[in-house]
Amino acid sequence: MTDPGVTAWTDRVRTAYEEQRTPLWRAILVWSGSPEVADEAVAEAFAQLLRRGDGVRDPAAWVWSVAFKVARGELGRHRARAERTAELAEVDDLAGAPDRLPDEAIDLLRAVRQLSDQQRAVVALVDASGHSAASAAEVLDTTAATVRVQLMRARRRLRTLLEPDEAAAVPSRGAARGVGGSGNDVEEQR
Amino acid sequence: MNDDRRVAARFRVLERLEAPDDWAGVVERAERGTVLSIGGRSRRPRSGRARVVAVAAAALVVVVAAVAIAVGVGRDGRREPDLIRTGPSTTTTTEAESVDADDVFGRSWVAVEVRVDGEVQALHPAGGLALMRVGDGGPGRVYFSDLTCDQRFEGALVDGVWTPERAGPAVACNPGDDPRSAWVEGLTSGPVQVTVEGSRLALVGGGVEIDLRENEGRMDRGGSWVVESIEAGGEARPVVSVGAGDPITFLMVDGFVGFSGGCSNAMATAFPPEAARIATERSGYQESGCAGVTDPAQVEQFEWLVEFLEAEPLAYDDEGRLVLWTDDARIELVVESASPDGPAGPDVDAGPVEGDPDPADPNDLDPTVLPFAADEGVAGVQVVASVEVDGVTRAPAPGWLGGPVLIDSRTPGRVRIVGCQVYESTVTWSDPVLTADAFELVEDGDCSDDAAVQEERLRVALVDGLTISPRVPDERGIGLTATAAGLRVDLLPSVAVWEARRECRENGASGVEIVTSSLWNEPGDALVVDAAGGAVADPVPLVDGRASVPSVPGSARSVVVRLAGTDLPIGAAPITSTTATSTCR
Repeated sequence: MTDPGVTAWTDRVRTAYEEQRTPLWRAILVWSGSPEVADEAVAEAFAQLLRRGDGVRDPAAWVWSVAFKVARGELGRHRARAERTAELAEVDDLAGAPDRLPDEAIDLLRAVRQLSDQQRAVVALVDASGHSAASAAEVLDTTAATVRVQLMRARRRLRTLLEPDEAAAVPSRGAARGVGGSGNDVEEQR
Repeated sequence: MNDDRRVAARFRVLERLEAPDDWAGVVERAERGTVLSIGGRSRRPRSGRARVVAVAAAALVVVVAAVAIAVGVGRDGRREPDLIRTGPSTTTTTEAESVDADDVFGRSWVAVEVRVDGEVQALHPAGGLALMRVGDGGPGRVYFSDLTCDQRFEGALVDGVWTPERAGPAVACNPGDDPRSAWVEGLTSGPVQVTVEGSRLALVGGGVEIDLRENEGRMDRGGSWVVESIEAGGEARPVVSVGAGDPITFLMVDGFVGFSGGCSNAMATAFPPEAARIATERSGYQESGCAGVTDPAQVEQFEWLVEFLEAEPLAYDDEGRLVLWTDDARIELVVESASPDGPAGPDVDAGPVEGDPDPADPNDLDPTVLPFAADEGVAGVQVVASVEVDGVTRAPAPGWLGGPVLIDSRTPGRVRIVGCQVYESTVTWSDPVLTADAFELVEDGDCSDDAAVQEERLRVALVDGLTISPRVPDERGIGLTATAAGLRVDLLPSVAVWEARRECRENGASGVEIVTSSLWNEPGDALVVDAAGGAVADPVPLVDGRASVPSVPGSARSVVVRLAGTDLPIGAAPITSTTATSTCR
């Protein structure tokens, strides 16, 4: 006979899976640039959640955090394999992405890949998945202030990468406001 | 649409993408019992034979590690104190139910007395210990530190018992000089009972008893501190000069710490004197790069320092040194100039000048010489508003991205409120009343509700019959206070950014040339020559960080040269220029 507690936990994880699977997958996709890594990380994170049982107080928060850690390991494994087998093209060309994603998404992922690791993580969580800075900070085990700063930097860089002409034409906000006459930005984290 | 929103909109392409629904695969994985795949250690379930081999190999690793611990020898033949005594951790996602964790973690503790098997141990005077929580409810890390050895151990605090799980890397550890080997080993060999009572902490376990006191408030952190050394990942990191041979200087004023990274890059963040940790909740930074010349090493160092401070390093004093340290890096600073009574910065003053007014005494100042009351009114001055609403100080007032609200009057006759929104108005200055027409919204920002509400109150206060009176907030400078219903606005001009005094007159010089690498050197910035806090000469334009003051007021034996018209990233916290030299001529 099935343990009612186990069934209830399974149902709870299933619900979380339905709700979180796609935004989580998108976030991992943006961070890693690889649909394969995203597939693996999402599946593995929910499998681990299922195994842990109801000791996890906030399954949704838990699975986001673990999925990123799994993805980090997966990405490292992909890269190591590519280096071993000289499959550099796999790394360079966003593993598995061209076959599964529209061109517009590919362009976006290529731009995101030029960001730092932490910047990729924050845009993945905030811009791709709708997290607040505070909740993104929980996932990344950092502070909301750090998320905001990294997000600002990432967006600035992405603007240059995605819209190089416009980025060159538009002065920085600091300059426009006279905050920094030489183009300075006085930024503040909240 | 603003820039951020435009970039964010590019991510909408992802809305067309759906994750594959493979719930059955998830369940199958769970039932297979896949080994945790965290942090690059992902492993597929192995076949039966492979699993036996793997388990045997893992066991061998553990045995070898245990033997190494037992004999106290690492791979290089030296003692390796960071080996695991309780076996390897199998997960990094322990959900510890920490009891009274808030009373323990995030504070810095200094060992007062350590007893091993009842025998008192020798301690380095700066021997410290900090307990840091990693994530909410996650495992706690315990950091040990002294001059000769940083050693980090991680464990979970559950029901007042800290159980070591694994050790992090030892940083700068010299086993031969480390007097703490015995108690470190004891402490990390088994469960440790943790008790906290106020500012006292006791750890008992593994035959060791340690009494600690909280490491706070022991050091005057005002003034300027020069970076003496940087260490990252256990290795020395070169310190790149930020100017013409200038060291990196951390300036600590009014509960904030700021530094210049060169090329006009700067950061400031909260660091209350009593705090054991730098905070990033109220931090800001400025990136402007070098005009046409970028030193990659400076830029890289600036980025590194920002990241370091954003990691909210713990701080402790070590016989006059200030040590800031995070999980994998530390910075040691030595005091350059302590200034408990005023802003930090170079001060070569020869003392008060007879007959000069006392800048600390409002009654001893002639309002007509105050910068704001001069004929030019507030033109040429940009100030930072420290806002008090209904008796509650809201400084720094929230502005764009949380930055301070700036009252920018650098265009004669016009005043701009530069915050989250930007408002502009025509003003008429007739000492001591500033009359402003209605402020127009000239730039719409992406405000939070709180920021918008406060700025609206500020705008209304400035328009609706506001009287601004000259005042002297403290000895640091001259400011204005505006009051309206429920609102008080302190406008603190940035004249206190830095101060350098020279007895040029006494040396027969008629002028003084100032060269500065001010953090906030903007077009429109000017130097104000002030005869020891009294007579203010016309502002002298500051061009490329350089200004030549043609003459010193005849009545002055010494001059105070201040930088005016600057931005501050943090409300009323004056960020002092790192370097300024003055030459009589």
